[in-house]
Amino acid sequence: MRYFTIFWLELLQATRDVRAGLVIAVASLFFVVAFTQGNERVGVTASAVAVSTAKNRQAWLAQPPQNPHGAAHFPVLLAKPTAPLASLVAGADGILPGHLVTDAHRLLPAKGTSAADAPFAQAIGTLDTAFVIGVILSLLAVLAGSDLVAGEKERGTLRLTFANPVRRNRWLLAKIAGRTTGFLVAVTLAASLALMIAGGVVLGPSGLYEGMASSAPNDVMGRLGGFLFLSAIYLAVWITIGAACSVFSARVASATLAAVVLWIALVVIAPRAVATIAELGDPIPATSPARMAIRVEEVRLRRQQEAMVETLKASGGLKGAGAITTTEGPAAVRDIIDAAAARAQAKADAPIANWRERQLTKLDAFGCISPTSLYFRIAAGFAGTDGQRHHEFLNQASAWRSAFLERLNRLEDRGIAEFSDYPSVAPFQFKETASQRIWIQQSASVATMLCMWLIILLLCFFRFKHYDLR
Amino acid sequence: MTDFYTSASSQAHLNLAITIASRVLKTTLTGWRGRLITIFWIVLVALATWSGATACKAEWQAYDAGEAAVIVAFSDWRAAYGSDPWRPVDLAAEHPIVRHLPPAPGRALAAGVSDAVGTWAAPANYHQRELEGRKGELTPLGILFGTLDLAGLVGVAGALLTIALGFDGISAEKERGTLALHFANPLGRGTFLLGKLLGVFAVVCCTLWLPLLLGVTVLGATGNIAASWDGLTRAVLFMLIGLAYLMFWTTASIAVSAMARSSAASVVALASLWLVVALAAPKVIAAEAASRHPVTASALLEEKIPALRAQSLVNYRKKVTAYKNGHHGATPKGVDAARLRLAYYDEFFARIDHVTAIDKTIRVAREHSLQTLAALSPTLVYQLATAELAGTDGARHRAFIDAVDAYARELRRWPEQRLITGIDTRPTWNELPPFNPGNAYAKTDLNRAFRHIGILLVLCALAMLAAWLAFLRYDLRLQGA
Repeated sequence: MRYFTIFWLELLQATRDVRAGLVIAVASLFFVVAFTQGNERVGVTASAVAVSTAKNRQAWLAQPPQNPHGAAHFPVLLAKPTAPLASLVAGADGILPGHLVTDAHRLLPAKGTSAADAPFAQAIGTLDTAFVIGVILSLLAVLAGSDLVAGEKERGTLRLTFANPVRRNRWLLAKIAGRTTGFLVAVTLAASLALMIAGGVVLGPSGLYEGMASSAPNDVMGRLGGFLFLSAIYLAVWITIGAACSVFSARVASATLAAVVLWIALVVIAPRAVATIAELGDPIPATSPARMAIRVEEVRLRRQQEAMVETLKASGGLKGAGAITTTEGPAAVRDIIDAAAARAQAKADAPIANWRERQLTKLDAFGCISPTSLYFRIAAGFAGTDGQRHHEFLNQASAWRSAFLERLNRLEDRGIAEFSDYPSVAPFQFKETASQRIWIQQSASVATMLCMWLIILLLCFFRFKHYDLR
Repeated sequence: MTDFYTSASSQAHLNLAITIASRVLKTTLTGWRGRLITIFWIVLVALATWSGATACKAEWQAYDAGEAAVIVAFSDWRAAYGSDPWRPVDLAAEHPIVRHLPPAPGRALAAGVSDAVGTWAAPANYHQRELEGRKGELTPLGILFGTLDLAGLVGVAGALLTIALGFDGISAEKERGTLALHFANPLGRGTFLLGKLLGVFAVVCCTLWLPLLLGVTVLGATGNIAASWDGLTRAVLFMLIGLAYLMFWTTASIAVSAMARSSAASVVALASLWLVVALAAPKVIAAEAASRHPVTASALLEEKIPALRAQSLVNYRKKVTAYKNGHHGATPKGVDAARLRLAYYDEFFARIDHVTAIDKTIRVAREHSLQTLAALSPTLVYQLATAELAGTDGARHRAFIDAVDAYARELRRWPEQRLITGIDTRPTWNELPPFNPGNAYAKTDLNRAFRHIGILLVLCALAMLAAWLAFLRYDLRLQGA
């Protein structure tokens, strides 16, 4: 009960303090900008995806009857829908391509990055909700925690408190819990205020609503829950880091300076340094030689295919065959060539894919040195603006293209000379990963964040046992 | 102290200001705060220098590997056709040629757009919208974490550390009660303010700028900045812009300190200013400029190209039919076919140009908007200036895309023109039309660099004026005294 009173008093003090007002003012200002710009960003992309996909579908349906292989040559636009929480977390979406166009004979690269059109804006970064929490609020949080103990010492109330039968660790825990709760209450108020000022944009069309349109509403809520939970832990980590600075200092000024230095090191420097360290001794490989090798292999294979078709023709094996069979050979020949092309592609891409895997493993491991890098990684994961969702899109689009080509080419193999049933080809629909699966994928990282919090807390307890109260 | 004032009263104000400045310099550099910040900054500069050198080396390695692979790939591609008859369309649509953007001359200084955009393009499409080989696509997680470079370090951390050095320049004197004591002597407020400003700026130069200079020197010595007049110009301008930028934050710190009642209030105000100006404003302004002038979405443009091609094909087929009618039903071959295809390409490219011209105008307007709005944030001015100096700004990237776009057209038109002149053989690598990268390799634009320095100096002057006006009415007494 005694410790609950300490917690409660700390909470009241934290919410009444002038700094709580500052947190609310700063946070709500940034949240308003983040919500509005996030909504606009997603709205523009979503509208472009909707219009271009609809036009492409219209053009597909409007085609006159033609041979099935001719239909397979139609460039179908496969666009990636905006991520479920893209309006909150921009993540890596801006530098990842947004669509690909099918080709009957080769796998074309995905295109349409925002970075290509607004490279400088992309390089500077986006002011999204994750940035507000990850960078701006983390600074306010660490400052909020930095006078927790040293402030009491400077005011002389620390000795007075421990003149009573109060256990140091429990007192500290109650203080940290009270300060954290007060801070989170202020942030929640600021977010609510911003939501009202911005007219609820983040919930409306182009905001979360857009995410709900592309996946089940429960999934969006599941992802949102994950993001909010993560953000709360992250801010608690920073308040505890501030408290740790306070426990290690005798004066508020030195605690504040240490907190700012730590913040610069962990927020501004560490995530960037992590990316550099991960590349140490393993620089990014040249990606263009793979493309050139595949291109040359395509020509070789086509010539090989032509030779096989000529042999078949000479032996009279293609009598009465359809257009595709007389030019590209029967299914068996096409399968051999396709398999060889896939092998060539995999061989050429192998060094890049291996480098990518190695890099991901290292970034995963090194990313844990800073709560901020961990936060951005998990937030992008929950939002669906990470590389994982992009690769899922590429896989699904590639599978759709294969099924599309397979179906039309088999029709031709069956001797159907004319294809006109265009509506029977269902449009590409990206299936979002269920939020439960996202939670499972992110659970280890969230647990790492919780462990980080616990370790800092234990460090505070250990140091506070020997803290000079005078 | 007595000597200090008596000597000052008999000398020019400037000498007095310099004396105050030297005192500030001495006390800060020997104090724990100055030492801690110096050590911290040296570590950061070392990290950023190493990061810049690593990135620069990796980009050059990838570029060299790519350029070497092009010649091999072209020769393999040529060999793959064996004794097949030569068709211009092979080069137009099947060539394996890739053109690489060389690393920017100042990549080691400022990463700019390097990791967000690609580094090469296959000039085979009808219209290039973006480059491939984006580092960000390979490691989205790495991009999410950001890039560590000297320009980014100065822009964000350098500004914050300048604040940490100057936030209590005047307010601390008031808190200690020494401010009123100074003015009990014949000392003008302007002189005192100037002395403080010069002192803190000297501290910033010693603590932050000199390690930065060392970092740039190391980059130059290790060959990460070209050992040429152009490379030297870029490095010198980079240091000058850095100096002007740090000067702005010094002036702002002194100005706020001269307005604040206490050091605590000064640090809160300056931290808020930093959050808004250094962290938020560049992002908001860049996004605002992009949203004011939205270019056609890539998918929408992609959607238009097949229609443009179809329209051009209609005319091409009409011309082929007319030819057949005039030649007793004979299909055009050789030079005649080449002439018809050339006319088809020209029409198709003209149609594409007509559609994309709107986007080009929008891009110019967006750039203008960004440059104008940038004056609201010194950090954005600094980032734009350093990226331009380093060659890692969007303009160089866009110029290269345009050059590749022109080359892709050349690779379609050239074989047809060659056929018309009577050459009917498969070209060798040396016979291919040269790639002209145009403005992608432009030298440093000194005018733009000095304009950016000018903007930063004007902002410094405004901050100094605000500091002087505020300090004229500053209450010298200790709070509650």
